[in-house]
Amino acid sequence: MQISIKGYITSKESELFYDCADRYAYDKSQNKFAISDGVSKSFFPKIWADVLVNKWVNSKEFDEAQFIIDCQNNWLEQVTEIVNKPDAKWFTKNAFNRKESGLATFVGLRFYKKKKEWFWKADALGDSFLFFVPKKIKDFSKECLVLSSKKEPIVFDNFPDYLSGLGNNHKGEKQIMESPLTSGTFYLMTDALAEWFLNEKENAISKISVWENQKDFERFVNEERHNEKLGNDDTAFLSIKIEEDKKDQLTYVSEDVSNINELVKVQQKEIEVAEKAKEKELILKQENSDSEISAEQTQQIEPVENILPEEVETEIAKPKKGIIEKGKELLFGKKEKEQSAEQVEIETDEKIEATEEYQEEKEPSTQGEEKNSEIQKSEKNESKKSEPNSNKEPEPNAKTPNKPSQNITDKF
Amino acid sequence: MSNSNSKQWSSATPGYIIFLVDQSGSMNETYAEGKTRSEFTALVINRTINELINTNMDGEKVKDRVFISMIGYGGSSSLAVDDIRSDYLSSFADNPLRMEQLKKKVSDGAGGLIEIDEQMPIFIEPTANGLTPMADAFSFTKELIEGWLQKKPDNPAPIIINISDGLPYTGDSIDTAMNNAISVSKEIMNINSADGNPLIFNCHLGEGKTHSFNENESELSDDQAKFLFKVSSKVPESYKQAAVKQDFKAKPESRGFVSNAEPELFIQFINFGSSGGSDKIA
Repeated sequence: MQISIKGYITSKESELFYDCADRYAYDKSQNKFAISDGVSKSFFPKIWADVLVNKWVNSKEFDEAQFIIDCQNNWLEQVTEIVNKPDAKWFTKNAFNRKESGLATFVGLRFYKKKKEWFWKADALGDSFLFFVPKKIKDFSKECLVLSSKKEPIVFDNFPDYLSGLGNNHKGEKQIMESPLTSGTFYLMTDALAEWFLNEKENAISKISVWENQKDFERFVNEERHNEKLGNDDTAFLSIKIEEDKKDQLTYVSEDVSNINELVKVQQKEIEVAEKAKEKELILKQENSDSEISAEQTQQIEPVENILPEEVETEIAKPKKGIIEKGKELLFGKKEKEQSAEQVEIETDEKIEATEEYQEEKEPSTQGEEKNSEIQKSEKNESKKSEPNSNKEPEPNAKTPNKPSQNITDKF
Repeated sequence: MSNSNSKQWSSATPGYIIFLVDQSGSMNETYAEGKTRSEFTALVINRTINELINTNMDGEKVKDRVFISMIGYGGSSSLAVDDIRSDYLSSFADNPLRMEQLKKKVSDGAGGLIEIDEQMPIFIEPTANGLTPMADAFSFTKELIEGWLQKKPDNPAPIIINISDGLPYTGDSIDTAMNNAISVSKEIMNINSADGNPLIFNCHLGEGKTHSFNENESELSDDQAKFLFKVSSKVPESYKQAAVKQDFKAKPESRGFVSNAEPELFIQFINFGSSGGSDKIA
């Protein structure tokens, strides 16, 4: 029999390949294929999904209990290494200490020979699916084989069955299917695409048949998301087409399978190139605007919280920051303090005075610092009901929010 | 709109939660666990943001599926409305004000408990000072929502969670302050977005008779509860499950509010109000 494989993968909209927690893998020497969807609310799901699919397709003798233990050990080893890095984040360490676990769905498919005949066997846990569409299909709903641990009626939600990266807290019961190997195509899909496939039925087959490469797949995903036919989720697809050639052996005749690690690398390079171009553009703009600061620009500058007077003075005293440094800051973002200092750099003396006044007004509201003791005392002695009787005169200037909404909406 | 307020939070279409925090002087009164109302409020908000970070991170990276504003009223001066902090979630995760060390008991995976060290991020400190300019806070919120929807018309409708211990008061008559707050809240609740109207949920901290999620104003006995009813949104279908999960009885016409909430109810209510961050993520 001849086998052709296609595999494509993409992340959620507005996320990177790096963020994608779906994984697939296959091993031709073992005739094994697997797909997994790391549960996004779990701990290091993409490592867990990656370990599951790769260990599964590479294992020769299959002992399920041992397989899970080996995977869990590998996951823990990788996660521990990350947690022990000096720059590990506080939330990573907290979750690790709480013994949070990676969770992932799983579908595994393998071909094996028994008494000169080839069979396939698959098992599935969670909302990732295996579909088998026979070559000469007449009635899709009757002949298309569907395997997952989702119970009928199938409802896709954010709470699938899964394998856990720690202990025995797996959820659900895996489903198994086994049958002689015949001509047709196996489709392994993570949930969003599986939901689309179930909705589209036979139409799905013709739409899939035109995918020649990763770009075709990405185009399809974007279009169907736009048409609201495909959910905005990480999306992975692995198809294994079987064609009878009257030979005893399985022959792999074509493979077009995207490698997520390669996609990550390519995308990171693209980002670097784009950033460099943007940086250049900013430098040019900066050079052009350095000579003359428009009045309009000055008017737009609002006093920003946390500007320390020393910083203001330092920045004013300093003639100019390095242009490249400035470009980088503009491009890669800055801390609020740094932003404030930079904005001040182009302000007039008058504006600086306004900023200082603003700071004076703002100071009493600084969290955790001393409060207006008079008001506090008076408020303390009166219950909330007595607030109306307070003799305290409203402060005339306090009605305007200290920080205009523009400062917030600019961050959206 | 039957499917209103049901849009999933994602990096492509982040949600927006606005915590309106009463920072008036009376928030300095003792509330629970040896803490004042303002201290307990800060604790609950800090925990909530921490929980949002935990549910929206993949281990080492926090996904920006929500933008959070913490707006204080009272606080810095009698009638101030302050942006305590407004940022995307990852920015909160990267830059807490400070960290506190806690001891926490967690399951050891074998039926027992073990004590672990946990770092608790602090994003808001307690403040209690000044009056209660709630209407001004709502007006400021309205500006934020309009700005948000202008830039992100296809995103989930914003959620406002207002935490207060009293009626609005700005130094004039309480009725005027209440009417102003009611008027602006209605304007907010009437803003249209692709995902329906923004939602205002109100939590009042106090010790009198508790009312929550009522369907009719006539069921309410006191002015405080009646006011909250008026400035709260009807709980949409998409939030009913979250309400049930937090043991609230959400009926068809229920409004999202609690009056005289005790600590447990307060925590449950904030969990309900911020549930978009855990229950509705891709």
